[in-house]
Amino acid sequence: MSNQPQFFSPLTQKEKIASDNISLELIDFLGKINVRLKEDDVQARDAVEKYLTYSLPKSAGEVTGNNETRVLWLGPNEYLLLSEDEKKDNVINGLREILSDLFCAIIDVSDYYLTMRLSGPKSIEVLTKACPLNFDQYLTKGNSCAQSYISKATVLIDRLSDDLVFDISVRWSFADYLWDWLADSSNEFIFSEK
Amino acid sequence: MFIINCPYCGERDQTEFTCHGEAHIARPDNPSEISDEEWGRYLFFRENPKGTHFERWTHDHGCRRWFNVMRDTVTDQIIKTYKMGEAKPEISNE
Ligand SMILES: [Zn+2]
Repeated sequence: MSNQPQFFSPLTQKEKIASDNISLELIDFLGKINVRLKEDDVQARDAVEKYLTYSLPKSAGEVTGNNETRVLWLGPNEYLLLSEDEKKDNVINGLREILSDLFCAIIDVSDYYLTMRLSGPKSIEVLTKACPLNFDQYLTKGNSCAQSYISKATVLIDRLSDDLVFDISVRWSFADYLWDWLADSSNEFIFSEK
Repeated sequence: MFIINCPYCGERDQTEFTCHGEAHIARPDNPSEISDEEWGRYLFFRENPKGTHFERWTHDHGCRRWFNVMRDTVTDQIIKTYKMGEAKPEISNE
């Protein structure tokens, strides 16, 4: 037997949905890093921005990034940094180094959340069935994010582009439930195509 | 459907929030020096006004921050929301 760790998530066995109206797929193993700085600490903010080579989100629901990393606004002093899974340790070490003298928390939460991608022209219709967000007010364009809940699961929704593509991050233990809920809610739009 | 204006996120549905009781209650600086009655007042005694009430709320399913709400207990109208640490707003008698 091999001693290599086996990557496994509750969604590995799920059958993905791919249709003209709606698609649902698992985004496997992203690096997710929770970054907390003091709200008014300009020095720490500058250091992080210099390290990332782009600015951190300034207002609620803003997302910034480049080809390698992506930063989501979680709160006035809290961000979620996404990277490739293999590169996350580099990023964590890099951030800890540049912030070593400053007040901060850099926490690896990669295994705490799972991400699934909902896309297609009916995706907002599926989401609004059980998410209280006003989609005319929030997540109206690409590179925006919002935290809310879908049915009973607390989620972080990241709209990747002006096209309807949503990456939904959910706690590991809720992933199975949320996937089934989204799949079930998408059903009517899949059948209506046939 | 109630809409609550989170000072950080903006207008969101009330089901994303939880109320945590009265706001602006300061823990005594000198617990060992004050009497049981004074300590008891701090722990258990709360205002129960008919009208304007100041409360602590959290945006549980959003930014997860604590903030204060000025709410009318008769009409349930939320008069104002403001960040922790900001001064208690005046009650106007209109
Ligand atoms: Zn909020």
